[in-house]
Amino acid sequence: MSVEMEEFLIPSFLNLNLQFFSAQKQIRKFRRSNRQLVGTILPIGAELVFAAGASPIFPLRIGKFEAERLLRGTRLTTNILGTNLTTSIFGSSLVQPQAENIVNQFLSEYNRNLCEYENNADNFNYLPDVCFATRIAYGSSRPYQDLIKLFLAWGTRCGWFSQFYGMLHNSIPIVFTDIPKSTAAHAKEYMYEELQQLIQRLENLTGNTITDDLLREYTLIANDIKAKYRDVLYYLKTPEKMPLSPYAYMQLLALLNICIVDYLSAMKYFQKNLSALIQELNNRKRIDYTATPKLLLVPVFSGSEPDLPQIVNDLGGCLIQADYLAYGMLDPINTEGDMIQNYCEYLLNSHACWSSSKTIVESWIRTAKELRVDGVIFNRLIGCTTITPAQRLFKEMIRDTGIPSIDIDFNRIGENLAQLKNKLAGFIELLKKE
Amino acid sequence: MLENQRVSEVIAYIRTVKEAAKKVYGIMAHGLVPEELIYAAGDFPLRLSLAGDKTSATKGIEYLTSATCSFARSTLGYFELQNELYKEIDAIVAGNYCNGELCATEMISQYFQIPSINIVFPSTKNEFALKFMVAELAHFKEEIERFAGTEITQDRLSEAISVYNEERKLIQEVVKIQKEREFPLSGVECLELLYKHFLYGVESSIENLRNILSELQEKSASIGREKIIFIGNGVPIGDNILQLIEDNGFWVIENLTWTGLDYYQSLVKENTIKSLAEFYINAENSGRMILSDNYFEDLIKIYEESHADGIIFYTIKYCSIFPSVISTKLKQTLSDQKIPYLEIGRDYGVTPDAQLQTQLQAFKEMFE
Repeated sequence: MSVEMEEFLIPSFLNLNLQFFSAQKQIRKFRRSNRQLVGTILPIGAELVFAAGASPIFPLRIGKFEAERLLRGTRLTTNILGTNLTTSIFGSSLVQPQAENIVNQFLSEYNRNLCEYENNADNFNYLPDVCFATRIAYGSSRPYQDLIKLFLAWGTRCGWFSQFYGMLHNSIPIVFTDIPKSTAAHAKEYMYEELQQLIQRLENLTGNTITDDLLREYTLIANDIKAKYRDVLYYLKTPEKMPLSPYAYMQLLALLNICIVDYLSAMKYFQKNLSALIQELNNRKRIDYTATPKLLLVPVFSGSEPDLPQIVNDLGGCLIQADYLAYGMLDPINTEGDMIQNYCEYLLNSHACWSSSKTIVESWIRTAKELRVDGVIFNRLIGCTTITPAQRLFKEMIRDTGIPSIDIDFNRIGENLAQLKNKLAGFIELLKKE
Repeated sequence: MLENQRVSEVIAYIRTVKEAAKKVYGIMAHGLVPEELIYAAGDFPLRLSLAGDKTSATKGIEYLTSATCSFARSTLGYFELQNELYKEIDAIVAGNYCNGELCATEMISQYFQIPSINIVFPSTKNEFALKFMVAELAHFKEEIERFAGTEITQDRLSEAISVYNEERKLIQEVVKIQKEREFPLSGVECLELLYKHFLYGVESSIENLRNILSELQEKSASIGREKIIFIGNGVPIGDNILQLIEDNGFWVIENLTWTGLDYYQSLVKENTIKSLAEFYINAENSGRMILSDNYFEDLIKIYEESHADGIIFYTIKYCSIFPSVISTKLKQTLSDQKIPYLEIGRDYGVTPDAQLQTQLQAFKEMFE
């Protein structure tokens, strides 16, 4: 792996990375100011939590990251010496290995934490056969049951998620909000009432009132963040003019994929850094990706091998994670009129994008075409009984589009990596020839 | 697997149903689809309840993942294997009881060109969920009317609800006599009563129940076996778990699964869609929902009142409902109450009977 240190040191990018790894520091700050923590694992509902004066937290971030100190040191150096000088120092042949070490240390710590969450889930007697996403979510949430005062639980197409929330409920209070698998008028009425009761619970937790204006304020910020997230993905529409090297771009996509869940617990700060990053990216020298196979990974949000971006990068490709774009979760929320009504529309429309195997596959294919990818990797999650069964349909429908695709298996971190590399090597080689 | 003769009989019966210009609707056997509406349209609801053999469960992997429960896989597998009974199905009701049902019904419709009629169940039971359910059933009724080409008038709906209530009352009578006479019917025999409904419909079931009730007075109770409450996954046709349990010296006195008699313990109160919605939304066995603590409290109460000796919790491997919340909480609850308990699971066609027998024998030894 070769790290372009200059990309890594873009101040806004550095800040976003640091924010990701600073959960424990953030939590200490929230406790000092009596700000309640609300757990969440899906990229919906964070706006409501902020509007209630609480902070959403994706438990995956809470782990201990020793490398955070290194990153803070790097930021300090950048602040004092400026990016150019720091880059030249880190970029020198003497210091470059040190720069790579920082990135490697982060990745290895991130992976180590994921493994720890998996082990936690096993130790807490969470079922080993079920999907990676809920195993990780359970293993990362349970140790913090005293910190997290409420957990956002959503009734979705996936019945297993409901069971996961049911298990979690034994240790952390949950607020269960049903998103019906329908967009009919009666579904909208039901969704409205469900959201009202969620709002009520959040208000009871914080003692604050979620006014329409407050919800609008946070929704406007959310819309702006989502628009910028879309902008990052839409760079792919002009592959000859990409703003980052493939490796840095993949890291950014992976980061955004997680940030969108809790906006890293500080929405305005996140928005500020993301805006600065986009501005920086738009002004950068462009990189031509036309010879780099761009591979869309689907599905992502039930979990994937954390080493996958690096593996694809080492093979000369670029891995694209865009589940939330496919499922309409990056769509803007209407901010005119009744905000609860608007939020309902958003939830129901987004849920409709994955309400059946056929709509899921259509969403992926639409995204693959929109982002002009060269191939699609189907991430067959062992243990997923909601989305993975769409595999057969996916194979048939993707074949009709002419977009090459390949299946890979994923169950636990680090399993069958050699086999995975071999499989992807052949696929990427083929795409390069094409 | 059903014996050939039994299959042939069911198929012959379904064909007579079709000759009477009735359409056959396949519904998953979880007991959450309001069959009354299909009956009211003059059509026939057939519970997709065959399972238990390796071939069908393996065939199902071609459509679903191997991590999907083997009941859902088997159901799809039977379509792939062109099962003669399932070939008679004109429409499939696609519900969202669990991930297995959701995906299996989607695939059946997609790959076997069977029209699907959707029904969405809420995941909660509050007043707004009930309102949603009422509207959803009204929508479902319209879909049935469109497919059947028949209007479901109030009279037809009333008649359907009263026929189904009649069956429920008869089953309640069976349950009452069972308790009064120290359970003369075995768990396997009780299950057969339900299978009659699954395969032959409500009218045949009523006729059968009337016969059973007249015979029941003559039957003697089983003595000297440990009385068991059976919970967890239902027992599809072809799954011999109850037989195994009873062959190992137990007597299943209560079957609290979706193939159990408890499903019939209340009535649809009025002849309205709202009453139907209330009945189905309150079915405690709905896999979509997070189980309330009432489930566990009720279980303890049933255990104490029936003077049972133990509880057997049955799971079908990869079921997304029962092994999860229930398993963990159940272990804790029953252990606190010092209630003898066995969790037993299988994957159709994979888990050998001998393995289950060993577990049952060990459980039996606890009582000796």
